[in-house]
Amino acid sequence: MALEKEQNNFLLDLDCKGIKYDGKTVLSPFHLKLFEGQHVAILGASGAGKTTLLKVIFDHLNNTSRDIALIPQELGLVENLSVYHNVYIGQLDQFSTVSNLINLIIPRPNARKTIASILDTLSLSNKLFASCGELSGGQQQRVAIARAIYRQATTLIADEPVASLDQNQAEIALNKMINNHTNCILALHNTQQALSYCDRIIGITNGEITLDAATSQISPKDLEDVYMTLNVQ
Amino acid sequence: MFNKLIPQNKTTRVISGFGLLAFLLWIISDITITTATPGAEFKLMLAGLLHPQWPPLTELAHAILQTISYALLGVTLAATGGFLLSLIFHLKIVRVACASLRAVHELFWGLLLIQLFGLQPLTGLLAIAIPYTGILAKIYAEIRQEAHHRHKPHLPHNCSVFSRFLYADWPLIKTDFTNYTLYRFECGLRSGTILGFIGLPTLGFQLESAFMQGHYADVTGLLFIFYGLIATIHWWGQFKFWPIYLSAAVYYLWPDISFSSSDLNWLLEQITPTPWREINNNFGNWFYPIISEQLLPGLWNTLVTGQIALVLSAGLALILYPLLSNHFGNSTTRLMGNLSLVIMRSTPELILGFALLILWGPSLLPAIIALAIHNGAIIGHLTGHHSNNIPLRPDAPKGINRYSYEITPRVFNQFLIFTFYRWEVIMRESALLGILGLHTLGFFIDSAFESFRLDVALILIIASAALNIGVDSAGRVLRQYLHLPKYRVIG
Repeated sequence: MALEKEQNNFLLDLDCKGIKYDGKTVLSPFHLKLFEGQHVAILGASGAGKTTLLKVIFDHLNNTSRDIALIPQELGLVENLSVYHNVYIGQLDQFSTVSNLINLIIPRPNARKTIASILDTLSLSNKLFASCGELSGGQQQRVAIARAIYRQATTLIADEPVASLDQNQAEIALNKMINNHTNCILALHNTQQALSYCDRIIGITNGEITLDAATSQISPKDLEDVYMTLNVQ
Repeated sequence: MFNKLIPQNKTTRVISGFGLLAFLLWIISDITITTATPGAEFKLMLAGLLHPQWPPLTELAHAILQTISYALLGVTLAATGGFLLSLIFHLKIVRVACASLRAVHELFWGLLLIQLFGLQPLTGLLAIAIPYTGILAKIYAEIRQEAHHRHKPHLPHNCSVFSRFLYADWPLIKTDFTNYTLYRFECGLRSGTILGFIGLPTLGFQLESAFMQGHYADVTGLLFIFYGLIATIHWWGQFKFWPIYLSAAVYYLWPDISFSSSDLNWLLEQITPTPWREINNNFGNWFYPIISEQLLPGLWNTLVTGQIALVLSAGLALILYPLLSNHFGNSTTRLMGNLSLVIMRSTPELILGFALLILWGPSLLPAIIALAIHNGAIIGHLTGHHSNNIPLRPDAPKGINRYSYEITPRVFNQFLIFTFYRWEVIMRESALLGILGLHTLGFFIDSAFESFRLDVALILIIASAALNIGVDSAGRVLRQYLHLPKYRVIG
């Protein structure tokens, strides 16, 4: 199994006692180890607990003061700012406050060039200074992806980052995300994407981790079970 | 070539337009400190601030009871009238009438009513009731519209208006209605207080005389009482106590109320332009000097004061709102922020203006700064509370980066809505502050009343009302231009 893929250097060794909201179990207790260099997909039906699991992982990694790029499901874009500034937010902590303030009025040339090229690969090059609120759902999702890439962190945590993209765009975006981050933890909807872009798959059913294996060892039947169990209940 | 200088973005265009205008007006206008030693007077004020004193208890109790009674009766009358008018608010004539009622400041109503009733309670409570009726009718109508828009209650077609109201309207709007009426009661206390500046025996009367005599310790004591009243209003001002209060207020004011007004015919004659009353008078000869010596200078100074104050208020609000936003600081800083904003926005602008006038001497500066402080704190308060509804990403930046990249851009539209709504109020108050002796419209209105030229006073009041209505519609046009949503605001 992927867990025994002796790499020894853990990204995460997490013993979780379970998560409850209003007395209702959202996530059962679990023990999860993630290794450096892994690209992990988290699969499960809506409401299975993917977002909660990602949040637990993010909080844990964040406490280790690791450099993380995050794409939450609701994207967290600032609608009144331009696409350029939204992507720039990815590196806000790299510059002094004064230069950040200046950049709001006069975009920094270097940043502008880098961001334009990232947007270019995501087919958003003509939107550099469009206001984020005016973009379509799919375009906004790509801006959030661009922000994560511009952050240049080693680890990416993304919650259904390509859900609103068509197949072609989704593939470009996934490629870009995988190639720019050593560690990826992606909640996905599409099993095919998980199988082709990730080397490990974690399946969640009703708040419980029901599947955890290397992609190479997973059969289509296993994946079906992850989704089927929910329907039975 | 100049096209390049005009910003592409509509919001930037509007904001830089307002900013540039305010800057130009500041340069060409009379805005300076004219007192020789503003520091010395400030030291006296500060000394008074540290050692508050109170006038004799009976005097004080009388002033407090007068203030509360005017507010209570005025708001009750306005709520009744406003409610009835809100039912027929779809009629254009009602909307226009209400807009005119609220376009005239309550102090100007007070000056007008003094001519009719003299200095007595009826003048005070009507001065509050009349403009507040116009305000409440509009707000009540908007609350009902909004509730219908949200809920679309399904009712049988042929049910009566009254049962429709009881079953479909009242349950939906009850909370908004009572909350807004209580908020108006708070405003009524402020209005009741400043009515003292035109001679009614409320807290403002005591404040003005204390200011005039330089008794800053008394000023501080009176202000503390005023803040105390406002700060505890949610406790003592609850609706369940109102029946008791109302009967008490009527009982208390009754001996002073007199319904024998001066002859209405006499008043109507007085407000008719002089040339129409006297045959040998040429209208042009009479009207031209009023326009050139009073109306135009008054309008100009009101506009200058209002426009600069608007821009400063907006700037101040952007600096102040993080003080009470949950996204910044800790519970201690927020408590301090809340406290200072409460003080800044509760202090009536007339009192702030008076204090600054004593410090800096007569120019438009005291009025501008007083308006900026009062309104900046109100907009900052509203914006800060609005910012608390914004969810942030778990990895959102902190400090100034959070302020400039995350929160401010997200609250900006709402902030603009609050500011545009405040524009009309600021303009109305700019006109009013003339009563202190600065040459905005209020100065000329006050002087006309003092010299018993009621016809002139009426013309100037109509001019100030027209200015407010104009600014109100300009605000509406700008909100549409910027595609800002229609949003009801308390304030």
